[in-house]
Amino acid sequence: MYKWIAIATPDDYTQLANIKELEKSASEIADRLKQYLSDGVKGVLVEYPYVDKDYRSTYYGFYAKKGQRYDPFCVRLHFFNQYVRLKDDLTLESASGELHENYFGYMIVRPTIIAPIGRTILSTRAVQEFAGAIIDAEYVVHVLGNRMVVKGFPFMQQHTDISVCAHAACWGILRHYSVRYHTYAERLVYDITKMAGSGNPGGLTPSRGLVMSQASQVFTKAGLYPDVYGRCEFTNFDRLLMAYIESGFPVFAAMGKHQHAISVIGHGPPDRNALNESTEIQYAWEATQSFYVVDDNRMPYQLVDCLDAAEYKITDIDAFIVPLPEKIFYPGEAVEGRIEDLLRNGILDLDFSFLTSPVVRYFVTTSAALKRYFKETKSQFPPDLFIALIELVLPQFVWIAELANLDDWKHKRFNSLVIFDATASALEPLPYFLVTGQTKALIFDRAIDGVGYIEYGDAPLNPMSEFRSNLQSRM
Amino acid sequence: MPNDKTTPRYIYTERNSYKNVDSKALTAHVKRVQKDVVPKLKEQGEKKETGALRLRLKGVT
Repeated sequence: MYKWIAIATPDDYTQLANIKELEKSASEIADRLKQYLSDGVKGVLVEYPYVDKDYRSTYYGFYAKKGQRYDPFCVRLHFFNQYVRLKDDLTLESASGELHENYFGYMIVRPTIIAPIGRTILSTRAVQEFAGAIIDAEYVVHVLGNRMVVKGFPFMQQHTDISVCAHAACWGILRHYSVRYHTYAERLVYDITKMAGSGNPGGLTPSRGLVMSQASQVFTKAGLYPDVYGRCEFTNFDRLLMAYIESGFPVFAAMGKHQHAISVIGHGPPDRNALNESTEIQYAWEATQSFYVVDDNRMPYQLVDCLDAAEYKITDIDAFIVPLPEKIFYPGEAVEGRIEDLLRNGILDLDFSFLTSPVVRYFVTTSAALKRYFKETKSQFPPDLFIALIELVLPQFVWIAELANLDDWKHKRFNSLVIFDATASALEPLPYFLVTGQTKALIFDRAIDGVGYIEYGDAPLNPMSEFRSNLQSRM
Repeated sequence: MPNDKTTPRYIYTERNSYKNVDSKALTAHVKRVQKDVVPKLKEQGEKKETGALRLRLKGVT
């Protein structure tokens, strides 16, 4: 069955109550959609029955064993803009552009008694007042013979019985990895509950929740390499969290006070006027101070900041796990420590006194993305330096540090580039591939343990444009 | 000084653009880093995971 609901005003979402299969959930779903979706959403296509692989995994492993009868089928809601309509012959017609350009994603509604919102992938274009950048992947959707693609990050409510918030956060991160990178297998909700291990208090039904080490174990079993940070132990906790988010790695975050787990998947727009002239090192994070999170108790892409008015704030995050791909051995805190040392003491005869008001931004990227950046911004590099950069042998991942003078940072530029080997050991004395100064660059060819200078001569190194390809931005 | 293959840690290239670094200065830099920076990093690494792993998370709606 397919049914079209035209949305002229937010109150039109209450028409979901007319869908028999949504009977118990309709009012909760309608309320959430009214409050959350932007007025760009003008049509909802209701699809029933829909076989949802994630719900079915819990149905086969759990719900089918219960005395209460559970429907094996779900409802799927698809969201479109004003250009799409459903014709009587069940053709989706787009009046402007391709169908997928007018598509905002989908939400699955499970036939469970409580917490009915299942796998949901929504474009940030469908979200009220979204401004910032998130980690995303492309999700392929098939409906009525159409193949569409939507970019987003996975969301679902916890089931409250077979999965709790920590499972939902693990699931979202692992689903992102499996869709974005073919190396990682797809894990369904029930798989993740099982992966948390036999130590689940309360047996398979995790009524008393997971501890951080169990969440860490889920990521390890999925082929990732989790690193754990606690706020008490790291005074630069928020900056480290920001560095991993800027790197495109979704983070599992824990709030002890709320006994709650969420995924941190993006950040709000930086306020370029928030930083003042200072000889002390400042970090780009200090001008952002907000994260986009996926919280199973809410809706996707919630902005969390430092303000007291919110239900919770960034400082309520006590610890985070960053599940890393293989071959990232060099930790964020070491990058920060080395940058602070470089800025204060220089290296050989490279000093950074020309950065009179230094602003630092650091993150991981792939060598492929970095070389693409070099190629696309070739004109900003002295010719000899460009050749050295483009032929430098790099591992799959590198840490990048952009060192900027405040004025250039305000204009999205930086003045010195440092490239760290992400496969270096944390205590190595020379973990660099590149350190650029004002008149020359120091190149470390780690493949052959060589070191050399390149002098810019008459072709100065101008301020470089910020690297921005790890996240999808709507600033 | 141009890139010189008789010098330790030269860049393996025929390009004239590379110059050798002062290897004594590089050794001095390494010694300073090992004394001033590495112990702090080691200490930070050892602090990881203490306490954080005991947090219990359920967050029921």
